[in-house]
Amino acid sequence: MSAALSSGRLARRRSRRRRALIEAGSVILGVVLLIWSLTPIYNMLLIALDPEEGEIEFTGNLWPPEPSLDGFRDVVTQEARYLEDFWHQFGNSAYIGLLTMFLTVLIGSLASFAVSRMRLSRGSLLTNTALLTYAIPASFLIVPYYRIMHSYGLSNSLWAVIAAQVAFAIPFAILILQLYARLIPFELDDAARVDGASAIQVYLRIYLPLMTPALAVVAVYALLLAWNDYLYQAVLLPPQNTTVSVIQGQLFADNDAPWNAMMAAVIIYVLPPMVLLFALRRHVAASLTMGDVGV
Amino acid sequence: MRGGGTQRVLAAGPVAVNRPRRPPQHRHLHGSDFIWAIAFVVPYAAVFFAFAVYPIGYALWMASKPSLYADLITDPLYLPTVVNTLLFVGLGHWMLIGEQGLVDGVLSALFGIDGPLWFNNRWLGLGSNIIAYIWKWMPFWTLIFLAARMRIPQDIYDSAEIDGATGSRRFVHVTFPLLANLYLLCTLLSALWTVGDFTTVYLVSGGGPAGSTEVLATLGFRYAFDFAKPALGVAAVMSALPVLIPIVIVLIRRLQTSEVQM
Repeated sequence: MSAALSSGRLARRRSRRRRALIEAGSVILGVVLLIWSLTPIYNMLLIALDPEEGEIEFTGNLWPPEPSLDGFRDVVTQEARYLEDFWHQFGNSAYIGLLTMFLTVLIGSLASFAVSRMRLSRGSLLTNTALLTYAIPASFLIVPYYRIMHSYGLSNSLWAVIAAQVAFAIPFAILILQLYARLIPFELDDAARVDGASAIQVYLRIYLPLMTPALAVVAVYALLLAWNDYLYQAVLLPPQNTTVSVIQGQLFADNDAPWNAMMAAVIIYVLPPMVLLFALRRHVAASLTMGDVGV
Repeated sequence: MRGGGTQRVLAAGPVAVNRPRRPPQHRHLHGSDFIWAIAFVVPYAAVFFAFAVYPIGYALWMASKPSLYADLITDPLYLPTVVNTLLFVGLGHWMLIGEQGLVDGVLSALFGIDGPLWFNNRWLGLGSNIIAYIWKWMPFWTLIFLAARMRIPQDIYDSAEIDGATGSRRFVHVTFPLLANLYLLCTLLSALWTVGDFTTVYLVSGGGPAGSTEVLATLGFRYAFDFAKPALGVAAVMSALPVLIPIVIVLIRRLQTSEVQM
C-alpha cells in the first residue's frame, strides 16, 4: 500500500522535474533566438552612437565609452558624405512607399469587391492567373522592366518604381482580401441593396469598414515591399533623384564611409514602418490567425 | 487535408461560428451593377496587363533563342551559380561586416584569434549570405507558425496527454499533423521567395570572390548590366522556370483547398 503510494509520488515528482527541464530549455532557446535576432540591430546602434566616423571595430565594449549623437546630427543637417541629400531621398522613399500602399489597397480592394462580393462571373479566373505570375520572382523581371519603362516614357521617374511595386503587391493583396471577405455575411450586402444602396455605397459603407483588419495587413505588406526594395529603385531611378535604400547600398563599395552617420540614417529609416506596424498591430495580429494560410 | 472531422474543425478554428453561408449560385448581374463591377476590375486589369503580363511576355520573348542556353551551359559561371542557388534555397533561406565586424571582434576579444577573411572564400561567402537571409526572414515565419500554433485548442493537447502523448510526441503526433498543410505552404512560398532573392546576395557577398557565390538573380543582373548581354541575363533567370512553375501550381491548388475549408 505505502509502496504503491510512494511510487506514484515518485512518478509525479519525475514528471514535474521533466516539465521544469522542458520549460528551462525553451527559455534558453528563446533567449538565444532573441540575441541572434537583435545582435545586428545592436551592432547598428553601437556604430551609430560612436563619435568616430570610420570606427566599426568591436573593441570589447558592450556600450560605447563616450556615446554621442554626432552621427544623428550629421544626418539631420545633411553634413556627412553620401547624406547630402538625405531628406530629399527620404521624401522619395516615403512618396514611393505611401503611394504604393494607397494604390495597392485601392485597386486591390475594388477588384476583390467586384469578384467576391458582386460575384462577377469568371472574376476568380482573373485573380488566379494573377497568383500564377508569382512563378517569376520580381528580381527576374528587372531587365524587361528597364526596357518597358523606357517605352512607357516613365524612365527616371518615381512612378516607374511605384508601378512595379503595385503590380507585385496586388496578387497577394487580392488573395488576402478574398480569404477575409468570406467571413462577412452576404446578407449584409443584400439588406443594403434592398434598402436602395448602390454598388459603390455598399463598397464604401459596408465592405471597407468591415474589411479594416485585412486592409491593414495589405497596407503593411505593400509599404514594406516598397520600403525594403533595393533592386528596382537602384536600376530605375537616376543617381541624382534616388532613395535612402539605394544610398545605403553604396556603403558596400566604400571602405571608409562615414559609418556612424550611415547607421544613424538607417535607424531613422526603419522608424516609420515600425511605427506603422505598432499602430496596426492589433489588426495585423488578428488577421495572422484568420485562415489556414496564416499569411 | 484529407484528415477528416477533427482537422476540418480545426482548420475552421474560432471563425467557424460566424462564417457566412455560401453565396447563392452566380446570378447574372443586371445592367448598372454589371457596369460597376467591370469598372471596379478595370484598374486592376490595366495594372496587371501593363506591369505584369507585358514584362513577363517580354522576358519570355527575350529568352526564347535556343542558342542563349548553349551559351549559358558553356559559361563556367553558370553551373556553380545553379549549385549556389540550390544551396541557398536548400539551407534555409548577422551580419559579418568584413573582417572588422562584430563577430570577428568577439572572436578576437574572447579567443585571441583573427576572424577569417569572410568574403575571400566561396564557402564562407555563401554561408554568410545564407545566415543573413535566415536572419532576415526567421522572425516572420516564427510569427506565422506561432499564430497557427495558438489556434490549436488546448483540449486537444489535454486529451492527447491522457492518451500518453507527452514531450516530443506531442509535437510529432498532434502539432505537426495539424499544421502540416501550413508547413507545406510556407516551405513552398519561402522557396519561391528565396530563388528570387537578389538583395541579400548582392549586398552581403556581392557574388564574390570572382563570381563564386552568385545566385541566378544576381548572375542575370550582372550579365545584363555589367556585361551588356541583356538577353543572356534574362535567359539565365528564366532557366529556373521549370522548377518554379510546378511549385506555384502546387501552391495555388493548396491555397484553393484551404480556402474551401475556411
